[in-house]
Formats: sequence, structure tokens, C-alpha cells
Amino acid sequence: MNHELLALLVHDLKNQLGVLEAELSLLEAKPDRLKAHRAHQHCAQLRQRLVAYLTLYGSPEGQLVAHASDESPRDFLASLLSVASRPDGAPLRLGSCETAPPFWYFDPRLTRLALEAALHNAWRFARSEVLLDAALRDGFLVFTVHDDGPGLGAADPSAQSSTGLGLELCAAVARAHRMPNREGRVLLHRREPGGTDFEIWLP
Amino acid sequence: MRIETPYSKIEALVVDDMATQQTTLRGQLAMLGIGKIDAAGSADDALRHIRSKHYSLILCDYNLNHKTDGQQLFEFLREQQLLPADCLFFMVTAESNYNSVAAASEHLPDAYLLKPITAGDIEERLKAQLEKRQALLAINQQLGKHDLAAAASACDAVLARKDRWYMHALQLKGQIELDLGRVDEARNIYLSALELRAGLMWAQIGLARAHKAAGKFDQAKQLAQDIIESREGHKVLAAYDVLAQSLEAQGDSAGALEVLKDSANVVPSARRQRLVAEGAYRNGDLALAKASYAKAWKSSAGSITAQPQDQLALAQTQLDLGEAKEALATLDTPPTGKPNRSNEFDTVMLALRAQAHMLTGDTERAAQEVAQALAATRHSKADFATIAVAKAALMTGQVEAGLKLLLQAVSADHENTRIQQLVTKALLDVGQGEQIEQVVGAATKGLKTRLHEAKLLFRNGQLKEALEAIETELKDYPENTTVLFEAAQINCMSLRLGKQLNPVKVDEVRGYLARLDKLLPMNDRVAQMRRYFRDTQAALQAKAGAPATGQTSGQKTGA
Repeated sequence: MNHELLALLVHDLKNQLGVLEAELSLLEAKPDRLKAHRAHQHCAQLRQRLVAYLTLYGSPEGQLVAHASDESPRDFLASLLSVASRPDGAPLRLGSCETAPPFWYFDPRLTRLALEAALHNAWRFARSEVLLDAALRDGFLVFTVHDDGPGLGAADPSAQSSTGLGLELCAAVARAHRMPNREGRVLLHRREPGGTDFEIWLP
Repeated sequence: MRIETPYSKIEALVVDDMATQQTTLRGQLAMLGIGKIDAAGSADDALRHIRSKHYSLILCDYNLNHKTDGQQLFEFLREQQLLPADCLFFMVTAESNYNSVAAASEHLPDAYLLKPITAGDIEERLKAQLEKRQALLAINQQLGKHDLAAAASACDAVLARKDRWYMHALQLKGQIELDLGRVDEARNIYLSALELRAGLMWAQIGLARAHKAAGKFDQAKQLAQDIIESREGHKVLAAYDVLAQSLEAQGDSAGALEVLKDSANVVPSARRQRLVAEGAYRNGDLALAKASYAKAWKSSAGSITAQPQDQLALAQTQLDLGEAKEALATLDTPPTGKPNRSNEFDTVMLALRAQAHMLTGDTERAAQEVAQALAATRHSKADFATIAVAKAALMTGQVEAGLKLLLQAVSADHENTRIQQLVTKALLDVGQGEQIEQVVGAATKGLKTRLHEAKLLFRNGQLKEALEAIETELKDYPENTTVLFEAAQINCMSLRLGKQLNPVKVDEVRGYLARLDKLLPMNDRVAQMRRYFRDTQAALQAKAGAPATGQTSGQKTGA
């Protein structure tokens, strides 16, 4: 990551931290359960971004290592429905996972980080729907994050805070999943009439 | 009022040296509805709790800022079988430690949780592990009853569902087949797992073990070597062990020692240093033995992984090198932490001091110490302690007593080549090389002849006399593995001849197999004998038309 992007990220985190600080100081003056919940969410979002950054750039080996374990793709996606950094009212639904295999080998921690980043990206664009799904395609497990936003190439409604960190993380996580002759990858598709599919393919 | 959650009945233990972190983890467990939560600040403290109470969840920080870290605590609990079968162990670790810890461990906990953790993280792992336990319950219940055949059937039931737990059941079944001595079946299971998922580590290790169990040592070695050279495999200790055991089985002790050295470089634990030291000592590489025993002793001092044997073995090695003063300094070092010394420890201590005093010329003192050590040696066994006392006796001129002890040590397990190596070395060290044939040869020959005679009696149809003869040997040498194997086999053959399942005899064989399991854990020959025992039972049950029951199958090997 170059210095410009790092500065952008730090700047963004500083702003988010400022918001959180203000929320906490208000809470100190007047405790309120709902506001505390929101502050908690903001804290989780901040942490998610920091963990994403450290995962990408903080490893001493300079390369992500996937510790693949035997997981149920469906249960794994179901656990993402209750992710702490999900903003209030952000849409999220689990698809049928009809063709998903009953088990697959992947690193649940890294894949969760990648999908969480993809979800935050989808929530920035989505109008009313974000859908998570899993399927078996060409011998790969494919996780999809679909949003019904304006589609690829549209202006980012929160472009100021976008550093590209999320997509970079997703690509690195996919690449960390390697099999003989096959490697994970990330794809973005425009969907007609509108919307985007983010896909992470895991061998 | 407490809210009932799926976790209300769980009793948990939090192990963390930092008070604030303890409080946070307790709070997070309480948020999940876990009612009873204890906390421990160190490994020793945790051990006290675990010994006195049944926990179903242990949440342990990796870094305990003390002599023992979380992984060592976990491995100790596993090896000492202190964790109940239904207890989940979650390791909390910093991201920076995770890669090295997860890749290089003798045993893996049920989950690693990366800091900072939330109640949600814990709940997610807890939920998954409880589901897994439920799905595999029938298998583990049978394993708990040591009924391997029923456990294999329970695996088949899970496999037939082809659901999320398929691979777990396959992994368990592979190990069960290996324990049952059904090497071909085990190999096929591992091959099918590898077909589903190329490179799967447990299946590769299992396949290498199956090759080794089948006596295909070259294939086992090749596969283990491939694993070690792979990107994910260079820290997989099980691969080093298969490689070392295969080399040892082919008579290449020096090669096996090199492999053990490599594994101790990858994971420099006290346990690994001990393996190197023991191999080096037997192979006469005293400098390496000394360095490795010293590392094992120093690195585990004050930790729960400390073993008093390290201090004694180091001193014996120093004595063999002629370093009497250093040996005395080693013996004079007071133990750190709790002394867990036995009478045997004190006897060996005396024997080693006697050896040292002989070397420094203090013969009078040495004679007194040897007299005390000999008086305290009641049960001579095929072990280090007996040989140390024998050596002291030989050095101080008590030749008859020394030779007698060595003869007993060899007889106690007369086909144990490790003991023969140690006894041979001891005799050479004290200038009694000419006695080797007399001691090692005579003891081995005597037992071989008596066992042969017992088998002859059996072949001549004198079943009762044959069984009596073998049981007499067992009385004298209850830990002689060859005698135990023969006893198990002759009893099985006599059951077959008698054409009925005599429950007393069945129990006896089961007892012999249990003893063998303890003396030779994870041993392929024990697995083969267990298979023969099972086949015997199955044949007799088929004759009687009785269905196979859980009560009449084999024992489980440690795994």
C-alpha cells in the first residue's frame, strides 16, 4: 500500500474515531441503551477496518497464510448475518445455498474478513437488498455478495472514505487459498437490470 | 433471574494471567448465559482447578507470562489425560503467534480464537463445536467404551448421511481401522479422503502411518518426506515421527536420530529435546545427549512440563563422559517448583552419586551409596533406573549384584532392543564388555527357550500346561512385551480350539492387550494382535450364532 492510501486510511479512521468519541461522551453524560448499541457498532466497524489492514500489511511473512479447516459454507454464511459491524437497517439476506457443498476447506477467519469487507462495500451501494449465497462451480466454492445498487462504474456515495483496502484484502485472501494447479480469485459482475455481484472463488 | 440459554449448564474455566483480561473473558462468557465461571491466573492454578472439577469449556490465553504457556498446558492436559472427553478447549492467541502456534503443535485445541475476541466470536465457535460433538456423539461414546468395532459402525452411519460431518467421520474411521490393525481398510479411507481433497494433511499423515503399519517403510518414508518438504508441512511433527519410526524399523538408528534432531529444531519443546537426547544416548552420541538433556531440563524447570528424569539422565550422561564434578553439580541442583520426586528418584540419585564419587576417588562414600541404592531397589525393570543402579554396583566392585540387575533388566523385556542397547553400553562403560554375551545373550536365550517350550506344549495338545507355563513367565516379567504377545496369542488359539467364548479367558486377553497398549502406545504389532483377538471372537460368535456385542471387542490404543 502506498503512503497516499495509508494517509487516506488513517484520516478515515481518525474521523470515525472522532464520531465514536463524541458518541461515548454523550453516553457518559446520559446513558442510553440504543445509543450505546450504535457506539458499539461503530467500534466494531473501526476494528474491522484495522484488522483488515493488519491482516494485509502486518504479517511478518509478507504473505497471507490460509489455515484451511473443514467448514459448512451455509453455516458459515449464516454466522455472517449477525456480524457486529453491520449498520442499523442495513439489508442482509441469506440465499438458498442450493448447490453449495455440505463441507469445504477454507480459512474461516480470513474468508470472514474478506466477506465482511465485501458486505460493507455492498451496503454503500445497495438500495434495498444485499444477498449472501454459496454455490459449487467448476470445482470451486463460490461465495457471492449481491447488491441491488446502481452497478459497476457508478459513483461511490461515500467515495471519500473508500481506500480500496476492502477489495485488495479480498483478492489477497482468495490468493492465499491455493491447491495444486488452482488458486482462489475474486470477480465482480454487473447484474441486469441493476446491481453488482461480488464473488470469491475458493479451490 | 438467570436467563436459560443453550449454554446455561456449561461450567467454564478462564485461564489468563492478566486480571483485566480475566474479567473481560468472564464477562463475555456470562453474556452467553454461562453461569458458572472460574478463573485461574497460571498453568499451575489451572491444573489445580481442572483436577478438582469437571469443566466443559476451558478458555485459555496462549501467553501466560510464566514458565508454562497455554499450548504447553493444553498438551500436558492431553498427554496426562486430564481433560474429560466432553471438555472443549479454546486457545486465545494474538495474531502474531497464531501462524507459528497452529502449524507446529503436538495436539490441536478445539479452536483458536484470535485477539481481540468478542462474545460473538466465542458463541460462534461454541455453537459449532457443540453441533460437532452432537453429530459425532455415537462414535465417541463407543470409543469411550473402547469398543472399536462399534465405533467403526457408528462412523459408517455418519458417512452414509454424506453431510457436513462426512470428513470428520472419515478421519475418525481411518484412525479406528489403524488401531484395529486393518491396515488395508485404513489406507483406502485415507486415499478416498485425498481424492476428495488433494493434500489434506491428516489424510497424508494417516496414509504414511498405514504404509508403516503394513511394513512398507520405504513408501512411508517417501510420503513423510514429501509432507515435510511441502509448503504447509515443514512443521508437521507427526510426519517427522513417521519418518523416524520407519528408519528405526529398518535398523537405521542414526538416520532416525537425525530426523528427531530436525523435529526438535522445528519445535524446540522439552518433549522433542528428550526424544533427541534419548536417541543420542543410545547411539553413543554423548555430546548431543548431554546438550539435549540440558535443554529439556533447563527449559522446563519450574514448568508443569518438567520431568525429574531429565536431571538424572543429564547426570548419567555427564558421568559417562567422565565429568564427575559437573554431574555432582547437576545432582545437587535443587528442583524448582514443586518437588514431585519418588522413592525411585532418590534411589537413582544415590546410584549416580556413587558413580560420581568413584570417579573422584571417594570410594568409601561410593560404597555406602551403592549399598543404600541396592537395598532400595526392589523391582528391577527394563528401565533407566535399574541400569543406573547396576552401573553403580559394577563400578564399585559389586559385580555380582550389578550383573544380576542387568540380567533382570534384559529379561523384563527381552526383545526390547533399546534396553539391550543400554545394557550393552553400560557393560562397555564399566569395562565388562566380555559379559555382554552372558547377560544380554543368556537372558534373551533363556526366555526364548522357555517361550518355545510353552508353544511346543501347546502344539502337542497340552493346552493347560502351555497356558500355565506362559502365565508363570508373566508373573516373573509382567511388563515383558514379547511374553504378553505370546500370552495373548496362545490364549486366542486355545479359545479357537475350545470353540467357545470363555469369558474369563476373553477378559485375560483384553487385560494383556491393555498392558501392551500402555507399554507400546500406537504400536502396529499391538494393533495386529488386537485384530487377531477380534477375528477370534467374531469366528466364535458366528459359530454360536450370537450377535457381536460391544462387550467383546478390543481395546483402543492411545491416539
